[in-house]
Amino acid sequence: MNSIAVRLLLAASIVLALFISITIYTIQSAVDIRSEQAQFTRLQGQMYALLGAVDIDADGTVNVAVEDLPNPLMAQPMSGEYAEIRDNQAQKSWSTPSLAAELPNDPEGAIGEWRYSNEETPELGPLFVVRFAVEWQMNDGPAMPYQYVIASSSAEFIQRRDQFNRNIWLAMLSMGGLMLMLMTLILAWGLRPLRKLSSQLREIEAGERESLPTRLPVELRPLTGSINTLIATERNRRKRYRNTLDDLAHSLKTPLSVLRNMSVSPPDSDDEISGQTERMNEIVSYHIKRADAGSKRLLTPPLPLSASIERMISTMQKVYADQAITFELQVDPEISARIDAADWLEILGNLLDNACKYGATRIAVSADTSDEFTSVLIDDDGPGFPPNATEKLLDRGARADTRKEGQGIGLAVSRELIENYGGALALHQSPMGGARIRIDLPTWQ
Amino acid sequence: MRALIIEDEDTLRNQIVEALQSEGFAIDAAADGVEGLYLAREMPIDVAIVDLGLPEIDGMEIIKTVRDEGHLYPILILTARDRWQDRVEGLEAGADDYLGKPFHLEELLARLRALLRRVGGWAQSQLDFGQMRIETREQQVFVCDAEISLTAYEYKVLEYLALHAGEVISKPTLLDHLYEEDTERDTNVLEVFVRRLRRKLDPDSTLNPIETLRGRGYRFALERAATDPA
Repeated sequence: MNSIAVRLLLAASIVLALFISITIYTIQSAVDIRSEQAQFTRLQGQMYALLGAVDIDADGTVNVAVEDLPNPLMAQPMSGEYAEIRDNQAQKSWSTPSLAAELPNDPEGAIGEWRYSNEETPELGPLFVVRFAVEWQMNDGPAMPYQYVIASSSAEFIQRRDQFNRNIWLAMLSMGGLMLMLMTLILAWGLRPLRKLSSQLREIEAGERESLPTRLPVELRPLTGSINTLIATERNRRKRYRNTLDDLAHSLKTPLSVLRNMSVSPPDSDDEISGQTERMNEIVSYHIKRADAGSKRLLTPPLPLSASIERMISTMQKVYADQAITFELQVDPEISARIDAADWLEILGNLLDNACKYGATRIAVSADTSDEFTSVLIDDDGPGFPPNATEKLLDRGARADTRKEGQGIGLAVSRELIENYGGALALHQSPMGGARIRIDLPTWQ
Repeated sequence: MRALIIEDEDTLRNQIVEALQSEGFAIDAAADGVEGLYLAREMPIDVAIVDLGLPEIDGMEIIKTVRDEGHLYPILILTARDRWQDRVEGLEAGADDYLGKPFHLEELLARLRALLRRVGGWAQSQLDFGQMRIETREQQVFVCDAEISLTAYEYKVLEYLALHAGEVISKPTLLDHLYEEDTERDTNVLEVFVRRLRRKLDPDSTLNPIETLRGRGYRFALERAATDPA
């Protein structure tokens, strides 16, 4: 059931079966009604002819001249066309030469009433029967009722009707079969791009192909676009991890060799050992944070910004409880941006931690949104940024082992994370006297 | 002060234990989550240091359980994971501070002292009671600006009582928080220490910093200085 083709074919088969059954039923009923109507009209005509041909004597003898018979076939035995007249005792008074036995008796019916029926008889087979009762005015006597009966064998008719029914079923079923075959072909054709796509994905897996082709049906283009970006991201990430590991190994080996040499010639003071381990620690955390940043973020659902800011503020209030820092939060809870929650916390953590660490006593977080950008401002009353140092603070190219002491990586990593989302981070002077950090993220439409 | 340390790395745990013991802490230590959780629930702990990545029961789980059961002592998280999300989640689970590995032992001690002071509502390392001043960082005590020379044990008793100023501390409680489980405990020894403390701090019996409440315990009776320098 887990196949588009099977689903479509199953649905089409059910619809076709319903369609065929209803169509056949409708056609058959219409044809039956019309042919019975035609039979009745034919027999009615013969009845009128018979009424005109009959003469009844005073003793009740019925006379009909052979040449006056409504249908010449009534003169031939067992021809299938019969007529019969019954008297008021329901006894046969007369019948055509074609009739060897008696027609089924049915004395019901008022004078002048037409009665039509299909009847099955053992001797004559299936019959259409028309009965009509009249009153015969005897010479100087009372009016005597007679029932005229005309019957016609329906065996051939039934045979022809069955043949017709068989034909119509045959025609409809072959049409249905043909349509299903066509449908299968259409599906195979329609789904071919999908099959091709999955084989192309297998080729990518096998390393025989770099990316998916762009010439595809419009319906698939967003999908293949996303898949191509995912593939590129994945490839990029792998490259980054490899580079990071190379960088990490390279940067760690220098302090490691210093430490190893210290075991041969012990240093004058412990400060040298702790200096080297401190350096190694900085290198590790720098590379771990950088490995996380620096790849384009995809398909991120929108995140309400204020909830995370509140969480981070409570964290800071706990960690920096001794400094009694006042936090002001002016962010509309409705404001959202397409950013991963962990990334957003990392950015906020780095920036707010810097503000707390460098001696702010008041920190204000506000946000505003326009059609293009959602901006978050972090203001504090701390010492602010040293003039002309902003570019250096944000520099992400510098390797950790070339960085100066105390030059935190928080700002650089936050900037990289924000740029992954197509945003920007800028440093300003705050009207509160300290630093202002402005984060612009593309507005989520 | 009684500290619990839950850390699965033996070398690091032993280093922390040694550093804290030399600072006068009574120590409970565990190498896995199960033992750690047991100690965290059962011991009269003043402060706990919990590593997040522990065998058996995760450190975060221990913190949540301890807080759910209503224990209020400060908890410091120790972990190598230094993403902000981990820190936020740790603090939201009920921890009070966070220290990323690797760390300096001095930094750990400073954070522990800060957490313990915070329990008593002190924001800075100096406990100022007007005529008496306790410098928790240097473990020095001044009365009328003259430094009083105390033994490590006398200082421990004084610091514990001062951080719980105003509260009545029974002798067994005081012993619980000052001695490790397996050491010999004797309330007579404690009484001797307190008597000596009083003599050193208040030779003329004018200040009367430590009250004895018969049958109930001791109480640090000095009022906090009105002007808080912070």
